[in-house]
Amino acid sequence: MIVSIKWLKEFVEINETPKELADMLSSIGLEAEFSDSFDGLGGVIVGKVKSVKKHPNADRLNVCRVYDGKDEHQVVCGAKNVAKGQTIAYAKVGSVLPGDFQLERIKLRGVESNGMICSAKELNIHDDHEGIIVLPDDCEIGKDFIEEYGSKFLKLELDITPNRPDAFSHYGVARDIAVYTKRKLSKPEIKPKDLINSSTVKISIEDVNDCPRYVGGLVHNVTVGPSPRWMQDSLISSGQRPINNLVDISNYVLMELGQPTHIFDYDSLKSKEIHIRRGKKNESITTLDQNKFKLNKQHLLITDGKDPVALAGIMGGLKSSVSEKTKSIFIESAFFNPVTIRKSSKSLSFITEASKRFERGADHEMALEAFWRTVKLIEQFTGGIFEGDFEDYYPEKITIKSIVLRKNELELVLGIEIENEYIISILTGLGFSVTENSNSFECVPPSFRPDISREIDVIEEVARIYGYDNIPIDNALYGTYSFEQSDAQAWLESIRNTLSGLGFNQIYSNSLQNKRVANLHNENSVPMLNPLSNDMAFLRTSLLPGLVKATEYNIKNSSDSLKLFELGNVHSRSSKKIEDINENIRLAGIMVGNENHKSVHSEEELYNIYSLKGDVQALLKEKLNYDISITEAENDLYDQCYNILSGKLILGTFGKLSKNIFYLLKIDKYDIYAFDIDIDKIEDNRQLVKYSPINFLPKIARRINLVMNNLDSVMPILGLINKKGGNNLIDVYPVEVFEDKKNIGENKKSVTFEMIFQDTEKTLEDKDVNPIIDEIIDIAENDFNAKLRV
Amino acid sequence: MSLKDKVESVKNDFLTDIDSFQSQDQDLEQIRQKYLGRSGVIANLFKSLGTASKEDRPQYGQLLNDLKNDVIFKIDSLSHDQDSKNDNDQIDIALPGKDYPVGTIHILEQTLSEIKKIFNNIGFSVAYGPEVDDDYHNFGALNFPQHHPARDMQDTFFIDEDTVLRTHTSNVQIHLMEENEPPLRFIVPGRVYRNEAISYKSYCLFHQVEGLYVDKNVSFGQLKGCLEYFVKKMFGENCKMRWRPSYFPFTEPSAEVDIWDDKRKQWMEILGSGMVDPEVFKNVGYDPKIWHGYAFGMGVERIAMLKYDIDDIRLFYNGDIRFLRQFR
Repeated sequence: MIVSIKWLKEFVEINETPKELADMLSSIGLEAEFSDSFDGLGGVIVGKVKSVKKHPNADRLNVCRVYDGKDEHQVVCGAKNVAKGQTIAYAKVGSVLPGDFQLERIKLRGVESNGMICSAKELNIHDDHEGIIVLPDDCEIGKDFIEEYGSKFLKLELDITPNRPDAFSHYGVARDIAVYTKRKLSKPEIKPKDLINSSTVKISIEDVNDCPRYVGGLVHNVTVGPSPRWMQDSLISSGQRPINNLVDISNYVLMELGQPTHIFDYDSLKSKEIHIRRGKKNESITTLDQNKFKLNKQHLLITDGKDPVALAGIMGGLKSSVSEKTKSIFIESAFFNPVTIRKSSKSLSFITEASKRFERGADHEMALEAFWRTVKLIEQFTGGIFEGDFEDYYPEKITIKSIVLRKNELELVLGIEIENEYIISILTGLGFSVTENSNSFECVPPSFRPDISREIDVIEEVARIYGYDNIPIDNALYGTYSFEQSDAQAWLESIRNTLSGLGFNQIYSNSLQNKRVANLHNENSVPMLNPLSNDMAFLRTSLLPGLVKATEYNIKNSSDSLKLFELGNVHSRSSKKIEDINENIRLAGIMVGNENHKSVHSEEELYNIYSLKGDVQALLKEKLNYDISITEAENDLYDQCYNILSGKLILGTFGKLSKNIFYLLKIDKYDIYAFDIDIDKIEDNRQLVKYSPINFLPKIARRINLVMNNLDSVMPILGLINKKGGNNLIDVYPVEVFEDKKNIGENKKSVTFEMIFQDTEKTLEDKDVNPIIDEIIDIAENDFNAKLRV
Repeated sequence: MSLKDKVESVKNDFLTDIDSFQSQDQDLEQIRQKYLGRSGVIANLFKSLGTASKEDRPQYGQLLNDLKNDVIFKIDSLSHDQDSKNDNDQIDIALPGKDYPVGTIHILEQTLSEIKKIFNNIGFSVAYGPEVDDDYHNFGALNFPQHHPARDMQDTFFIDEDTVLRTHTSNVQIHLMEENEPPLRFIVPGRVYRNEAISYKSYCLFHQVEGLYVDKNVSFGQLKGCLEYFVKKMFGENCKMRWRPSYFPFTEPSAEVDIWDDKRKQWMEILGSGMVDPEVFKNVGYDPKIWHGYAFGMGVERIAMLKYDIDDIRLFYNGDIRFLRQFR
C-alpha cells in the first residue's frame, strides 16, 4: 500500500524525515520503504503563463511567455491544455528532470524555446501524460516547485502483512505512529445524521454468515463533476487515479479509514430492494472495469432484488455504476465474511483494493462510521442531500471476547519486565480496553483487530510497540537440552572433498525439468499441477541432464575441458499414489575434453573410460574403502555402460553418454563420460572401521606374460588367477598390454599379469608359489585360449 | 719453521688455492691430489710428525687431524655444490609445473557448512525432511488457515490438491515434533520451492535452514541471543543488525532480522524468526502451557549473496565454472 506522508499528518504529528519515518514504521511491524520520486529533479520552479500564441510553423505547438517571478521567458509547449493565467511547473534552461535529462535552449520549428512547462509524468507525480500539470493558484511564483507543491506527493510504500487489516489505511498507520511516539491521534469527525422513521431502503440477506452487517442509504440530488483539488492530490499521492467526485469520495474514504464502500446509481437499480445472496448457475456480471464473470454459488452478490449489481466485497457492476448523469445514489458500507470474499476473489482470480481488505478481515464498527463519513463528503462536494433513507442491517451484534494477559507469561515469552502502566498505555493506544487485575490484565481487542484472539497475540502487540530492538539479548543458550543427534549427512563432506581434490567442480542445478527429460529412465517422474512452464513441470529423476546442460553451457561459453559433479535429491514415483513418491540422494559427475593439455610434460590426452573408472575407483575404493566390481550393462543413456557393484548390490553406473540424452536436451552431442551413484545405498552399507593388524612379512611378486586374442577381455584370466591364487594372493593386475604382429602374431596381444603373494604366518619361498603359478598357466593355456610367452 | 707454523702455512696455501679454484674454475681434483694425495702436502706433514718431541706429538697430531678434516670437508662440499650445479643446469623453473587441476565445492555448500558449524557450536543438531510433503505438514499444522491470505505469502507448487513441493523447511519442524518429545534443538537444511518467475532476484527453488528450539523456559531474548551470535559469526562482529516485527503464521511474536549492507547503503533482510505459536504446539501434541520455543528460517542463497556480493541468484544454478571457480 502506498501512503501519503502529508495525509498521515492529518491524523498525527510527524517531525521525522521520510526516511526516518520509514525506518520507524518498519521497526513496529509495518515494513516501509521511502523512495524519493523527486530524486534527480532539480531547478524546477513555480511559474505563470503570461500569454499563449499559436506557433507560426506548427499547428500543435504553442509559443508561451512564462514568468518566473523576475523575468519572462519564451517557451514552446505542445500541451493542449496550456492557457494564459495558469500557474505551472516551469523547468528553466539548466534544470534537470528525472532520467538525468538537462534542459537546454533549443529551437523548435524555428522558434526559440527556453526550458519547458512540465507534465505530471515528467515530474514523477503520476502517469498522466495528457497535458501539463496546472498548479493551485496559491503556489508562489518563482519558488522551488518541490518545496511549494511537490512535497505534497512524498509517499511511502508499505508492505502490510496478512494479519494487519487495520493498517490498510492512513488512519490505521497513523494510529501505530501515535502509539509508538506517544503523540496525539486525531480522528476525522464522524457524526451520524438524523434519520426518518420510514426509510425507503430495504435490505435482506440470504445468509447472515456471509454478510454480518450491511449499512446502506440514499443521497439525492448529486451533481457529478471533478472532486476538489486537495482530494485529487491526496488520491494521486497514494497511488489512486482521480475520476469524479463520487468515485473519488469512495476511494478517499477507503484510503482514509480502510473501509471499502460502494456507490450505486440508484435510478439504474431495477427494484429498490437490496438482496445479498450467493450466485446461481448461468448468472453473470460485468464489473466496472468491463470484465465479464460467470457466476456460481462460490460468489457472493449484491442484487437489486433480481439481478446481480455487484460482486460483493470485490467490485461493483457496470450497469449500476455512477455516470455523469447520476442524480441519486445508494451508498453501501458493509462487513463481509473474510473467507467468503477470499473464496470468491480466488475463484475469479480477481483481486481488488476492496477484496484485499475484506479477506483480511474488515472492521464491523467502521462499516457504519465510514458510511456517515461518505455521506458527509458527498453532501459537501456534490451538492447531494441525505433525507434520512438509511438502514443498518446488523441482525446479530458481533461481540469480542476478552483475553487474559498474564504478566508472568509476558515476561517469560519476551524475557523482560515491563511496567504495568506502559503495558496499559500501549494496549489502550492500540484500541484495546484494558482492566488491570493483580497479576494479569483483562483485554478486549478493538473491532479492527480480528487477528487478535489469544494471549500470545496480545503479547506480540506489546512487544511490537515496546520495540524488538529494546528487548535485551539473553545469551543463555543452554536449557535442559543437550546435543543429541549428529548430522546424518555429515559424511557426504568426504565425498565432496575427494571429488574436488580430483578436479571436479560441484554444481547445483534446477530440480524442475520438462516431461521428456524427467522421464528419461521410464515414466516415473512426479509432475506438478501448476508448473511455471512446460519446461519446468516435472521433478528430476536423474542428476545427469543437469550436468550435461551445465557442460554444454561451459563448452559454449568458456571451457571445453572440465569435470563437474552434483550431489542432490531426485524424485520418482512407483505408483500414482503420493505415498509412493521416493526421494533419493544421488551423486553424479561428468568429464569432458582433455585430461592433459599439450604441455612441455605431456602430449594432449583426452578423457576416456579409464579416466572415469579411475575417478570412480578413487572415490569408492580408495576413499570410501568399498570393494567394488565392475560389470558391463545395458543402458539407453550410455553408449558404453558399466554397473558399479558392491557384492551383488548395484551402487551405480558409469560410461560414455549416448546421443539419446543430447537429443532429449536438444543440444549438440559431446564426448561426455559420466557416473551416477546411489548415495542412499552407500549410506545403508557404511560400517564402522575396525583396526586390522599390519602384516610385516615380505611379499613376493611374480609376473607372467600371456598371449591372447586381442579382442578378448582380461577379465576371465583375472578371475582364474583370483580363484587359483589361494589365500596368499593379495593382489593381481595387468601391468602391460601390447600388440606386435611380427613377434606375437596377427590379432594377438601380450598381457603381463603381476601377482603379489604374502602369507600371514611365514615368509613365502619360491616353492610355495611356483606350483600355483604353474597351475594357472596350465589352465590358462588349456581352457582360456592363452599361451605363455617366454 | 715449527710444525705448528707449517700447519698454518699449509692452511693458508689451501685457502688461496680454493679461492683461485672458485674464481678461475680450476680442477677441484688437482687440489684434492695436491693436499690429500698419497704423497700430498698433508701426508707429508703426517710423515714429519715423527720429528716432533714426544710431549708435543699429541697436540700436533690433533692439529694435523683437524687440518685434514677441514680440507676434506671443504673439498667435499665444493665438489657436491658442483655436482648439483650441473644438475640444476637442466632445470628451467620458469617452465610450468605439471597440471593437477583442483576442483571446487559449490559456494552454497560452503555457506551451508559454515551455517551448520555455527549452530553445531551452540548445541543444535541437524535434521532433514522430505521435499514433497502434504499440505498439513507444510501449511496446516504450521497454522496457515485454509482460506486465509497468509496462504498467498508463499507461491506454491502443487503435486495434487493435498500435496506440495515444500515452500519452506518448516515442514520438518512438524515432523520432528511429531516424532520426538521435547526438549529439542535442531537446524534443518534443505531445498525448497516457490512458484515464482525466474529473475536475477528470484528462482523457482532455493535452500533454507530452519531452526527450532523447544524447552520450558525459552524467551524472545534468547532468540535474539542465538541469532545475534549467528549473524556476528557469519558476517563479522561489527555487523549492524535490526529486529523488525513481522508475521509468520507459525510464530508469534514474529520477527525479521535485517543487516546493514554498507555497499547498497540499505537494510537487507536475512532471516525470519519468532516464538513458536501455541497453535503449532497444540497441533503436534505439546502442551503450550509447559513448552515454549523459538524458530527461525534463513535462505542460504540470500546469505551467500550478501556475504560474497553476488548480484544474480541464477549464477548458483547454471554451473558456469567461471563462477564456481571463484570460490575455492
